[in-house]
This record gives sequence, structure tokens and C-alpha cells, in this order.
Amino acid sequence: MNNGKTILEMERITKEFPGVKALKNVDLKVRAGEVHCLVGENGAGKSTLIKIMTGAHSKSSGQIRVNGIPVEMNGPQDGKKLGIRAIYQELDLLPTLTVAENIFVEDIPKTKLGLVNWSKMNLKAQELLRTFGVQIEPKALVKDLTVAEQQIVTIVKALSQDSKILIMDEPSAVLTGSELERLFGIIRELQKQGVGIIYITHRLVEVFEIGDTVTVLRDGENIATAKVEDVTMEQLITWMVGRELGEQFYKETVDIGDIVLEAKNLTVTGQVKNVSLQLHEGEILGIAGLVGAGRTELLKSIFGQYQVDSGSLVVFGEECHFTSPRDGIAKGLGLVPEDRKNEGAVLCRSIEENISLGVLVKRKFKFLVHFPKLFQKAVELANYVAIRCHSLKQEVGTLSGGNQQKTVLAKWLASESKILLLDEPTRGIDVGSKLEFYKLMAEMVRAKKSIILVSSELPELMALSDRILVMSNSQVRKEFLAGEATQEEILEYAIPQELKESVRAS
Amino acid sequence: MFKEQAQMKDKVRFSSSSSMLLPLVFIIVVIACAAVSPMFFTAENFRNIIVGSATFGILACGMTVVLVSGEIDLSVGSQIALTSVVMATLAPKSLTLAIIGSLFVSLCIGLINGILLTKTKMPSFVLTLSTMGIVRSLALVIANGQPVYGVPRSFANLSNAVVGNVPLVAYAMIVMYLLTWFFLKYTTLGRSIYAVGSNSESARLSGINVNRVKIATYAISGFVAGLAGLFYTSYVTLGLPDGAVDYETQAITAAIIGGTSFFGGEGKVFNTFLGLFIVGMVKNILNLMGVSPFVQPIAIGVLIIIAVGVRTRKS
Repeated sequence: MNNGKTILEMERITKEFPGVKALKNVDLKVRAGEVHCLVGENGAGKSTLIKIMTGAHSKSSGQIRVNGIPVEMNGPQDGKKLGIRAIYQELDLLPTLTVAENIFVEDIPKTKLGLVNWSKMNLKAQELLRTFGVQIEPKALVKDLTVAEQQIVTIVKALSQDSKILIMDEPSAVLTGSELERLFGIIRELQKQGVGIIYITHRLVEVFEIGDTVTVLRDGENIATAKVEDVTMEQLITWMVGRELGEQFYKETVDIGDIVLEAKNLTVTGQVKNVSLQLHEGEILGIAGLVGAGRTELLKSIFGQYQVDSGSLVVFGEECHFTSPRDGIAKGLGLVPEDRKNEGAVLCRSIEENISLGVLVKRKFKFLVHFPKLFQKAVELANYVAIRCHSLKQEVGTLSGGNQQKTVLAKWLASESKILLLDEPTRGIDVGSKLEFYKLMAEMVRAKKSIILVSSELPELMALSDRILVMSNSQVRKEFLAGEATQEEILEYAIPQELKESVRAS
Repeated sequence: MFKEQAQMKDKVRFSSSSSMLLPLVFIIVVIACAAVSPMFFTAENFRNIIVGSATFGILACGMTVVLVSGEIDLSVGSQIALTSVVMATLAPKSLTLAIIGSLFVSLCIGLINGILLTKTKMPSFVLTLSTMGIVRSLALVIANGQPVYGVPRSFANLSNAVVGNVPLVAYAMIVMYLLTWFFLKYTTLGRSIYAVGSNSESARLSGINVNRVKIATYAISGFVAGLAGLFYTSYVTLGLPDGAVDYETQAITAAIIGGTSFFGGEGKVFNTFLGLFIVGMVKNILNLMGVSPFVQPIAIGVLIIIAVGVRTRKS
């Protein structure tokens, strides 16, 4: 498969943003029929590189050749004319438009009179969606779909057009196992048709499953390009982080204390069903389950974001009825939400302001803010969680994912939260930052804080948790002690009964 | 876009019920008005409502387009005033010239709005707030602050003209709504306007020329304001440099009661039509009941709060 001719060559590509050199002399070659994996930590320059490839960003210097001919691109239209398409990480969809319109937005089927041909568009969309094997109504609005369905729509959209180079920016981030399998099937099909594929992922396992060639970026530089069969996982990680990574996970054994939080038959209509759980001091309680199992909803109902319909919640020995997150925070809870950009951090404000929010919400009847004192605390905490930045005045939106997450955590440390609810805290964070985050979690429990951890990455969940609750269909199905269960056993309980039956039936 | 599923479910529930909500409100208002006053359900009264709402109604077509694109155009009321002044000033020379000239002027103002918006990237609220003042001032300067006489009787008669017992403006308004509906639903530019309003960055990455779409949107808004200005001039039979004050807010009111999103990407021009009529009927019934005109804005205000509040309130 690696014998196709080179269709895309990028030579000495440099991109400068004000104050930052995002890419330094990066070379990249893609052959027809090749799956070229692009890996690197967050902020390594992968997204910038692909945006230059598609014409969405202009390069500062360097040369791009398509089929040996030098090209200049001034916008995404130019990239598309050359057959270069991208499926972006931030699902680039139009939420208030229909699925069919989203798929064909670039090339709307028209009648002879040049008008939008709705029936043809819906029909063609239906066909395309069927080839992907999904039940999505072409007339549905994209905003009404689940995130996984939206991701499928972006993929179908890219496939609806003929492309010579197809760039996939972390398509697996929100896909479940079977959807990912289908995606890989489609990738192999495209390979046969001679499409060059650039596949960006954080899950290195996928590199070995689907990739032919792999390029590692670090700090805007091309560290290595190699055939996948010639490299090992350890080698890739070393290239990515620039040092040997001794361990993937970090866990300390601490003494588990008394119960700090107990939920009995917690129910939120349609979201959480009869969930009972106990959390002890110094404990990390893991919650496993598939997307939509009700894990996020459980955390939000404990935190006070969702109104509990029935059941009881006892925090530090006191029966609580939270009507808003404010109540939860007052009792020492802190939620690091899954949707970091919308719910976790205030992206357009500085690091110190974000951290200080944790102090502000705890203050009562104090009218004036003493900024030096407030920010002094922020400085201490930013150092404690080791946020990497030029200055604490920097906007949080300009930080990498890992550092944004540390900022959110520091906010809860500022409010002296004793119970931390972490929802997919390491999603989309690079390997090095993950390890740092695990170490921070270990420090938290050593300081007698307690953690409820929701994670879709089972190895992570199994390595960090003292106990694991498995959820499916909004309910807790099973409890395991650390080291008691294998991945397969956990999955057995995580997959809803109906799904298993439908799989058996088909 | 990435709201959790819980909220999405709420939205689904809401969108399925809300499509019925507006016609329902419309019917309720009709029944309630008919119950309150025997004079309401008469042909004469409906003609009053239609003639009274026609200018806003035409303006609201353009406003819906602008709102769908995710922007706003506050300058359209001033544009009507300028159009009427240009119309009345040129009319003594040639009526054709006057009509073409005034439409051309408003089209140009729309283009300028669009170009300034895309070049400066300033919020459209702020930009059109500025041009609203500038255009108003232009009208006042040209007319020297005085009403301009010179609208020929033949043109002024148009607003009173009746075809088959239905006023001409009613036909004009219906044609405008049909055209706008067709434009938004079946033309590539129309769909691009939805795309840009839905998520302009995604639209850009999908190869849509966002700036060109925005400029076109404002050009349409300007042109429609020009048309509304012609009807206005015919109705008042004068060039009024200080006229049509507040018309932009009337147009916005019709569109948002009709469910057009203030954040772009969503809106149906027929719903704007229903919104326009709901407002028109409420005003009309208050008049019939002899309620002071000073009180009417309270009723409209409450109506907006209820109409939009029901939609946006989360369960």
C-alpha cells in the first residue's frame, strides 16, 4: 500500500502567530493509498499543520506541492479544489441546519433552474448515511443529534465529496467501538481507491491498527517520520514527550477514611435511576460506562446542577438538598466537567481570574474584592498544579488542554473543595500532561480529599480507582474493587442489555 | 453545539411543540379579539390591520433575513426616511427616476453596511446603530429638516388602491413574503445565509464566502428597506425626514415573536408574518377597545416577553 506515488509534499513549512512560532520547518509527504498518522502532544502543531494543508491558515514560509506542482492556497476553497479535505476536531457543523444540508453544504444538489433540490438532497444523504450503517434522519437538525452522531455526519460529509487527501483530526475521540470499526472499514476502502489519509489521534493504539506511516510532531517540529511496522509504542511516546516515560499511570496507596458522601436511591427523571453509592475520605471512586450511560448526569446531580427528584444525598454526615451548584460548592464539592470549554473554564478570561472564581463563590457578605490577596492565592495554586504559561494574565483559551484542565482543578482547590468530581478529566490531553494530572490526583487524596472519577478510558480508570462502579442505562450495575475486574468484565456490565440482544439478533 | 444530551432532548421536545405553538397563539389571539369586540371580525377592520402593518411587514422580511444571518440591521427605519426624502425630491422631475433612485440609494446603504461590517468586524448592533444615526441625519440635511412635498397624487393613491376589495399593499406584502420564503428556502445564497448564521467558522471551512454572504444580506436588507420606504412614502404622501422612527424595532418585534433566533441560523419568514399579525391584531383590538395608545407598548412588551420567554425557558 505504500507504493503509491507521492501526492502531497510539504516542505519546510513555518507558521508564525504573533509571539509564537507554531511550526518550524516541518516536512511531510503523503502517498496515494497511504494512511499517514500524525501524532504529538497538544500544542505540538498538528492542528496548525492541517489547517495550512487545507488552506484554512496561510503559511509564513515553506512550499506545498500537490502531485509535484507547487501550489498557493488562500482559503479553504483552494484546498478543496485540489481535493484536500478535512474532518476537523471541533465538529465543523452547522447546528441549526439539517443533516442533509450539512452533508451537502459545499455542493448543494440543484434543479435545472439552479434552485436547491431538497428531495434529491435528502435522498442522497439517506443513501450515504446507510453506507455508514447508521440510522440518522436526513431531515433532523444537527443540534438535536448526539455528539457521536454529529461526528458521523462530519465523516459522511467529507466522504460525500471526491478527495485525494482526507484529513481526519481525532475522529475517534467520541466514537464508540463499533462506530470506530466502521470508520476503519471506510478508511481501508478509501485506501484502495488511492486516497491519501492523514489520521490524527491521541490513542496511539490506533496508529498500529490503521496506520502505514507515522509522523511525530513536538513543539512545532517534525521529530520523526517512520513506517509503522518499524516503530514501537514506547518509541512513539519517547518521540512525543522528548524523554523516556517510565510509567503511564500514577497511583499512591493512601489510607481510606470514613464515608464523606453517601447517595441513596438518587433519581433524576430520565437521567439517573436509583443510584446508591458511598465515597470515603482519600478514596478514588471510578465510574465506568459507555457514552450516555448517565455518568455525567450522576456527577451533575450530586453537584447540584441537576435537581434530584427522589433519593437522599448525605455529605459529611449532613442530609443535603442542593438546588444549585452553589449549594454543592458550599458543602465542599467541586466539579471538573467533561465540557471544559463551555462549562469548566472561562476561556476569555485570565488564569488568575479563573482560579480566583473558586474563592469568590465561597465568600459571603463581602462586598469588595481585595485583588492582590485574591491573586496571591491564584499564584500559589497555579504553581502548585504547575500550569505552563507566560503569565497568569494569559487568557485560559490560549492554553493547551492539559493546562486548561489544571486551571479548572486549581479553581476548586481555591474554593477548598474536599470532594472532587472529575468528568473525563484527561480527554484530549496529551500523554505527558495526563501523567502530571494523575500525580495531582494522588496528591489530592493524600491531602484527604476524595475523588469521583468518570473516564471512558478503562485502563486509566482501572489503574487509578480504589473501587469502580459500572453504569448503564442510568443505573449502577455492578461494583468492583481495585484489581478485581478485567476490562472485559467491566464492559460486560457496561453494555446495556437491549444492545446485546440487538447485536445477537443481527 | 455540544450541550449535553439532556438539554438536547429538551430542545427536541421544544422544537416539535414550538412549530405548533405559533399558529396556536395566532388562532387564540384571533378568537380572543373576536370575542372582545364585534367590530374586530369585519373586512373593514382587517383592511385596517393590513394597511397599518404593511410597511413594517415588508421591512420584517428583510429583518428576518438579516437575523437569520446572525446579525441585525438597526438602520432600516432611517433608510425609510431617507428613501422617502429622495423619492419626494426626485418625483417632480421623473417618477421613474425617483423610484429607481430611492431604491438605489437604499441598496447602496445596505452594501455600505455590509462592507463596513466585514471590513471592520465590529458587532452589527454597534455598526448599524451608527449608520442609523448617519442615515437619519442625511435625510434631515437633504430635506433641510422639513417635510418634502412633491409626491404625485397618482403615486400617493397607490396606498389606497384596492383590487377586488383587497388593498394593493396586501398583495405586495404577500408577494414579498413568498419571495423571501422562496429565496431563503430554495436559493444557494439563502441557504448560505442560514449556514453563516448557524456557525460562521464552519461555514467558512465548508468553502462558503462568509463576507460575500454578509454583504449580500445587508444589500437585501437595504433594498427591502427601500421598497418599504416607497410604500411608506405613498402612505404618508410626503418625504418625511423625521418619519418611520422606531420601524426597525417593529420589524425586529415581528421577527422574534415569529421565533427567529437572535443568534442566527434559525427563522422562518412565514412565522415572521404570523408574528407581524399577532402584533397588528393586539394593537388593533386595543384601539377598538379605546385603550390609550400610551398603554399599547406595554402590551407589546409583555407579548414579546411571553412569546420569547416560553421558547427560551429551559424545562
